[in-house]
Amino acid sequence: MSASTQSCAVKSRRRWLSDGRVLAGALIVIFGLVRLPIEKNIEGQFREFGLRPATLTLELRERLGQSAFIAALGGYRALVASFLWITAHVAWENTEWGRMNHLMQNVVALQPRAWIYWDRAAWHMGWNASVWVRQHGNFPREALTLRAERAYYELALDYLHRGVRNIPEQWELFMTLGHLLADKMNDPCGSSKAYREGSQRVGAPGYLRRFAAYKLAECPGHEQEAYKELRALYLEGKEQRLPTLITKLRELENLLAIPASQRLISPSPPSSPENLNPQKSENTETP
Amino acid sequence: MDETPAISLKNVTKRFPIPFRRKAVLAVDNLSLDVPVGQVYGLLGPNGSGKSTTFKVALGLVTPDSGDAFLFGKPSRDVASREEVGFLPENPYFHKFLTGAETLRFFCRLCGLSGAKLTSRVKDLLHLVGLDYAADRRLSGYSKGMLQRIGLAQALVQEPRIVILDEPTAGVDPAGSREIKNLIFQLKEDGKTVLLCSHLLTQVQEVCDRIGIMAAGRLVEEGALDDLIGLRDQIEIRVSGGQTELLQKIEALVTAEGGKVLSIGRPRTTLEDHFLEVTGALSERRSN
Amino acid sequence: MTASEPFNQAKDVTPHKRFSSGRILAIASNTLTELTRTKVFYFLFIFGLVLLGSSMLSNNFSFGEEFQMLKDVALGAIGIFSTLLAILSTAMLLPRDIEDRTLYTILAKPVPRHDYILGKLLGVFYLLFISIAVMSVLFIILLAHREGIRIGQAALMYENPDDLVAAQNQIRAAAFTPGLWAGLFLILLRACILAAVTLLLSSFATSNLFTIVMAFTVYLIGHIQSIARQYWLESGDLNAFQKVFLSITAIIFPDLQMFNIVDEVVVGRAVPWFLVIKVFGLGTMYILIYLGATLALFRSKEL
Repeated sequence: MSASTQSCAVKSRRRWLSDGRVLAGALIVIFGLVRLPIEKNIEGQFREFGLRPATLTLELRERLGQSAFIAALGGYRALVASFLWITAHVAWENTEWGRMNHLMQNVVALQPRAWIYWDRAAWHMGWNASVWVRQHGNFPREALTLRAERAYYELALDYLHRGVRNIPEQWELFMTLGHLLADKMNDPCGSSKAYREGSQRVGAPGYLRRFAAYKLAECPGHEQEAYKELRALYLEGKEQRLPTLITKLRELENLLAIPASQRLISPSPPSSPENLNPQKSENTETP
Repeated sequence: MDETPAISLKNVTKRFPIPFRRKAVLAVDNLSLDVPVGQVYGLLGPNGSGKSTTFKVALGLVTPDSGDAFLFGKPSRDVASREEVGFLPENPYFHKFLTGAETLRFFCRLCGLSGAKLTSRVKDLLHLVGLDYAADRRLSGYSKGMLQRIGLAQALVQEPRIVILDEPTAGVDPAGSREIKNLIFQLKEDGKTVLLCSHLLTQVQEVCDRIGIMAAGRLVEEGALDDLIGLRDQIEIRVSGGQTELLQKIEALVTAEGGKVLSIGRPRTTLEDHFLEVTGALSERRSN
Repeated sequence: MTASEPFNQAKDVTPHKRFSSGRILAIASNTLTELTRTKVFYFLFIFGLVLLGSSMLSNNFSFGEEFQMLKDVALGAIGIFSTLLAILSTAMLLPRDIEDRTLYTILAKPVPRHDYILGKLLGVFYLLFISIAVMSVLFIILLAHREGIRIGQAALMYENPDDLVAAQNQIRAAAFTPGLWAGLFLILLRACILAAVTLLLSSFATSNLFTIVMAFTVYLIGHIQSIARQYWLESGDLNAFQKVFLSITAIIFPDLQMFNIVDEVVVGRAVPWFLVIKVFGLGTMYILIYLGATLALFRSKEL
């Protein structure tokens, strides 16, 4: 009995070698070694073409919670980001600004290459939240209201700066940055710079160049520069000769006391409605 | 006549290891067995005696630890040897959502048939097993007996010379059982070699030419049916219309000649025959 | 010999081939039918509902957000469903055939085991292709539909024709981003690899549950395998234990992140075709290796 058990054990050891398990294991391991350099190479090319996600940090794990983090690890970053975005949207409807900001921070951490999230997050903070604190903040003093507004502007600015760092090729982010600096933070110089950056990106609409010039005109010490730019734009052709541009050009000509012979536009009475009221027909020209 | 046996097992031993233990179950123990061409061979034995493993070794589904199996001299482990053999496993399962014809078509395609050949083969097989009328019915609506017959048809698609049947009549009612029995007779007439196992010994006795009895993985007895159970020194007489005096006379005559009357009784028909006689008329009426 | 002679001549079966595409296709289509009868396609309804649900929210958002979320949700759902489908439908193929003894009837025919395995895997691939194609088409139709609506809305908002064209171009650019097709293709490839892994696992697993749990483990680890590889190859200060652990992880587990570019293509990254072809080559190698290992195990399997 014991002899037969023993011979059986010997036999099974020999069969172990002849059966497929060893072959299968060897195949997997050899392939594992062979594919190492291949995968490293493809990984490198993925990075080169911007197809690699931001690394998911431990900090993000703490913020997301375990299950969402695992889903994000399992290849569903985009999906998790979308769900968080919808949650953020609900927070917006309930005007829970802190919670909304927290959720949006997670979204942009998950999908740093989706410009729409940076852009919308900045818009929510810079425009919606800031207006809300002015209207419903009930601060005892104006200074406190201003400070609260300012805090939301800074948040918006931070989103846009980080967004631009992550997706430098997206003109939309520069445009929003330009809007924020011009309309909310009273920084025409910075705004002009942002518009100009945006106008140099692929696919950027033509009005960004005009916006950049308009804001430059408001930037102290850059009037001469702005005049040159507006003049150049005017000379490009009819499609640039929009009412706002003409008004700005005239203002600068007056300000810089350009001799009449060099002026592009003959001075017209200031009452002329078509020149003085450009906004009526040309909404997009108010950045 | 010295010819290659249809099925030949030589010193086959097969152990199945028990997972996570160093022991193994000895399923077949040094078994040698030849099935001559054209015979119906019945393999008998209690559950767990190694019949199914023996079949699987013959079919190349299981590799023996030692020993060899051959079909017409070709080693069973070669896939090509399976051209010669059809197999009906115990309680076969076919996809319920396929019709009888679709099931057979699938197996025909597995055997390399296609086109018109395939179509005519499917038709022939359905006719052979008497299921023409149910060809386009889903298997979910088949009775156990019909399923066994489809199983038998499936075993025959590549026209094998050997047919192996594992419990072909298990769970089938007597009428279906008889149909299968008749099919086995027909296979034998067509010159096929049949290896079957069954617990229904009366059936085995009716159809088999040769019997092997297995116990604990070994072949404990083997031989032609008549040799095994024919009682050579006894004779049975059946008399109709006999009287008591006649029986006494016969008894006296037997005793005078030095013989001995062992039993006198009233013979019965088999219960099977009686059952079929009673139910047959009814089911015929229903199927028409 | 006499009895079997005429019978033998009457045979009209073609001589046995070691490898037959007809046989494999017969098994593959049978597998596909078998899988579809298990009502796996019900999940397509769920997918439709998910899409419908996500598009119902869409009017609350800007077009940029809407398209972003539609793509996130649709591609995410296609990814999840294809993974579930690949693992769950493959895991039961072999065990069920063994339990039903269907396997005996098939392998008792002159069918080599490699044809059987190939046929089974091909059947799952069919299924994955059909379901991913259907989901993709539903998604594309919805995206095109929403794009049309947004373009129509833009026409009402802009008077200046130049601005209108610019706005509509912006909408178009946000809807059909260039990498979508590559992303969908690689989802299919990843699902096929998962099916091959699951088949391999089920060829030696002792239970269905084990196969499924292991396959999902491979899936999860597969998505972080590249981290292990990176640490192992590039980090200097590792102790021996860490090195062994990381190298085993990197060698044994597939790098499924290679086939996951969805998170990036939904934000509009373009994928160069040569890279898609490279990844396809790698994926094919994965499938062939897992298939080879499955065959090695299945060849000597006791049935």
